[in-house]
Amino acid sequence: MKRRTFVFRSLKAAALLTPVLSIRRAEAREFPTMRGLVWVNSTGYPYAEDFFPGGDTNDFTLSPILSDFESVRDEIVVVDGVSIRGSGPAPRGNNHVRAPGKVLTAKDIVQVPGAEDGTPGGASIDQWLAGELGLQTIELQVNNGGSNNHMRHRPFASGPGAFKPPVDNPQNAWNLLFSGFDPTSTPEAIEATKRRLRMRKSVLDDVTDELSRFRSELTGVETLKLDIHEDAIRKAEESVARDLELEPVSCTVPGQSDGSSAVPDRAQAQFDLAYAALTCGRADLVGMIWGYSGQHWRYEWAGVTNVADSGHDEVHHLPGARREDYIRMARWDWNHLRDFIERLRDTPDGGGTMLDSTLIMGLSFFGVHHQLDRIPVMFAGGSASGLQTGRAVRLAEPRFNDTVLTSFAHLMGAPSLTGFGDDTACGPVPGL
Amino acid sequence: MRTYDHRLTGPLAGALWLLVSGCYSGLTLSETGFGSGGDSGIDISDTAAGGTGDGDTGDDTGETPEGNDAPAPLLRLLSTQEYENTVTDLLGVEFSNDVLWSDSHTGFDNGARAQIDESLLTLLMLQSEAVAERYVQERLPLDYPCLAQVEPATLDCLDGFIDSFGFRAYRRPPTDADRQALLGFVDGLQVEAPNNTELAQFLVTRMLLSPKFLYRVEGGRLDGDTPAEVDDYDRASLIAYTMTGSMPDALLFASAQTGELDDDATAGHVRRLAETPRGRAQMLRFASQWFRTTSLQHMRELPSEYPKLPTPEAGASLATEFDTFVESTLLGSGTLADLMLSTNYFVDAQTAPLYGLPAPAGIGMTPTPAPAGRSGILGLASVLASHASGALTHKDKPIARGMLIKNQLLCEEIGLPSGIDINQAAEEVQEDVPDFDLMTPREQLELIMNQGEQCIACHETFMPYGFLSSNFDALGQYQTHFGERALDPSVAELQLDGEWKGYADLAAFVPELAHSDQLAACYVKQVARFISGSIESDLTERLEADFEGFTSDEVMLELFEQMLLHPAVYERNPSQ
Repeated sequence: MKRRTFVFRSLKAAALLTPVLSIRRAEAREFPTMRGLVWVNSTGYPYAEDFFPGGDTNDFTLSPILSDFESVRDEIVVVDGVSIRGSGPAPRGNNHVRAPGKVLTAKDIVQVPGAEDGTPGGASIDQWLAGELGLQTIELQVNNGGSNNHMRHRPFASGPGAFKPPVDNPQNAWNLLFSGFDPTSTPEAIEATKRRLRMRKSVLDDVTDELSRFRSELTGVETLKLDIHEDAIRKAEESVARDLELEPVSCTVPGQSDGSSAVPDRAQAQFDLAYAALTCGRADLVGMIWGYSGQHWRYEWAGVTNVADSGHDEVHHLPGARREDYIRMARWDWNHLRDFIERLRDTPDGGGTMLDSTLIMGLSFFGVHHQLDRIPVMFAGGSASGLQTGRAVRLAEPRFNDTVLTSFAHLMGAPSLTGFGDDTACGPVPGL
Repeated sequence: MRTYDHRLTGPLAGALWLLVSGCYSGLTLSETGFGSGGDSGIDISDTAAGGTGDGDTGDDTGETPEGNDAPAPLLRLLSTQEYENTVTDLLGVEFSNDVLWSDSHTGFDNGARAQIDESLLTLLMLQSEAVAERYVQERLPLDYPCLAQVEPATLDCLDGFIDSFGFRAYRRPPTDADRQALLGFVDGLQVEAPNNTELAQFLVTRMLLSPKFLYRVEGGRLDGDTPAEVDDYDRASLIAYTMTGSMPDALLFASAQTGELDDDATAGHVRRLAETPRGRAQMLRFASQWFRTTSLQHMRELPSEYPKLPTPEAGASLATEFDTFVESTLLGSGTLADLMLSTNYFVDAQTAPLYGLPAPAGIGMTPTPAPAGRSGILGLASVLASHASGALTHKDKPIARGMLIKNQLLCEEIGLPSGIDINQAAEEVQEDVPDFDLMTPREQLELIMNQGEQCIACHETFMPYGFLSSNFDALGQYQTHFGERALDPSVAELQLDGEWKGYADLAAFVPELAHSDQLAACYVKQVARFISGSIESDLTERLEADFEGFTSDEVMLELFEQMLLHPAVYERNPSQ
């Protein structure tokens, strides 16, 4: 993949934040500014011991799926004993819709009448943090094309009924993150970029006014769509305003994707973009969904050679008979997160590394088969937040994922959150 | 075909046999209330979700008060395809939309639930800038010469552009407020965009991001709070997007402008639009999504993903076969029975061998009589191949084929099992039964489902439909054996129109399916979903009830015409 140097960085535009957000920033001042990655998958495991480490909390043995994590063992915390609450609608009786809909929101989904689909019951933790702390986010998906308009693909939400759909095409993701910046960074190029951004801002300002007029012209139409549209314009305007506050910075961004829809290519491209987004200050918090709920990847690239049509149907559905293949597939999935952890650890940042100031949360929304119990949970990095890594935590009492999301929020800089989702008093994961 | 008589009032729920089969009964709808914490980002204070805590997102599928069944006004974000078509038709330049966002909860990609978030907005802005730049270079000098010259544009020039371009972009005349705002926008751009070219480019970009461009409005501009029909501009858009997936053309706009969009004019436009290239493409899209054959497009574009294909070219040929057959039956004066029973097939050098026929001379599709044992759309190799393994030629996937008939053609929904570990069941059978891998797909599935009464009770409602095509492999080739084992497509008992009966194979079943009340009612339901963008709403229920008498011997396209003449399609109640 061709690479080029990206030489601009946006200032954290404190001056552009609303007064409310500025106050919230001040409240969170005692915490370092954390970056984050939220990575969710449908991988699960054939048997619990295939994912969860053995041994003691501080002297654990890596499981078969995590066997390649030796190089980052000191950077991770694996949590055993977390489930997604089995409440709320499960459209057509399965967890394929409910699990991704609840994994980051911890709220019951709302079923779409007559359809095998749902809508989010509330904001996902990444979007809640974005609103609370004024973070810039991007949501990515690793998928090999096709439509992605179902809740099976959409764990991110900015509020009830308001999806934050991930971008599955790396070319579009690149455009969202890096379009319009001239890597040559000559004064003329900088000015040309700024001029384009100013014009873009004029367009958005004007569209804001028009949306307001449009709303007033209409009677009786659903307001949620217009609310979401208005929120989208506001965030896009803020993003452009941030980009106008350019200062030179040295970081490397990947070149445009070559358009390949092969899963390994897209996985690499999306993780490259996540890395570049964080190191270049183009996003503070990256959300990424790995495939989708029930993905039909064949995993021949991972050495699984006897899947005809669908790894999901032929391996995930037969975890006992296909246990070794299952582990091989799951290991391939999780190893991408390991590579990302290593990459951040190897990137100097101030007196430490990027990993110190980046908190990673990896979740699978299935445990064994399609069950919501005992889901894989991993935290990594984020030492600047006080997270003690190098541990395998076994919870004495089972907890729901709302505690995991609350812990993530605390570590990211929102310590006053008492709970998240349907249980607003759940507290964080004990002992994390 | 009978014409719609609005005095007819059938039962709201339609025929009883369309009730959900009840395989799954574990839904729990009681725990959908929203807590007070954990929500942010969107102000939902004036939505049902925020206001009542009942989980209703305020979308188009809500209940309506008794005695007043006109749905609420609706905002429909253009679908991915509608956006691409509309930009192309508006600007007259080639445009390919690289961003996907459509809602397909209805089974069709023009659903009414799509939303626009920050990422989509930004991507649309970038696309708009790029296509506007091309438009200014390629078309502006021809369409609006006064904006393409070096001298600063005059007010008359800008007025003319906004009136003309704005009318087509907004699909209605711009209001005075629109005009003033756009002139103000241009005025504000003068410093950053000192020349006409850049100014026009950003003006076009701006208009492509207008909510009036991005949304179809159905009834939102009605005065008062009583049910009324949408105005002629909204009516023209509804007709155009249904029939072509794009903006109204000049003739339809003219009818709306002159207030002449009455029933006669509507019928004429519907028939006319169906014959246009956009109209034909739209009906193919309808058929492809109805029969769930969208994988054929994938086979065409990425044949390497389908190891079963004998050649890379076969994927494209199968896709073309489907399109050609549908064009010859659904389009024009084809009836539902024609679609299901026609023996006028089409083959080329790639697909002829799949039917055991010699390759025809020449390039492209050649008409041929269907081989014995096949008829209609369900006998096409392309349709059979769409519902089968992508890799293994011998694997026909009875579940997928059964669900095609059960879900899509009979409109009966099947839930996944509750409380049963189907995976464990499958695994145990594989381990316990000798030579499991040598068995036919039907034999394997019958063993797996034979795990208890609950399994059998559910599976026997849909899997037998799939067993009927057991002697067609994953490429739609006729076969009598699976390895050493004889294939058995017979089914002892199958339910159709409420009656149980046995069938020898697909060829024996299809004629009865073709003339069944159930298929006709399901087609009505699918067209209602396609038009309304809703899977289950007051409008779809009313259309189903009022067209309950539609039969398989009526022309399929006339149902689109008759539904688009039905006042309920245009009636909205602002007080909902």
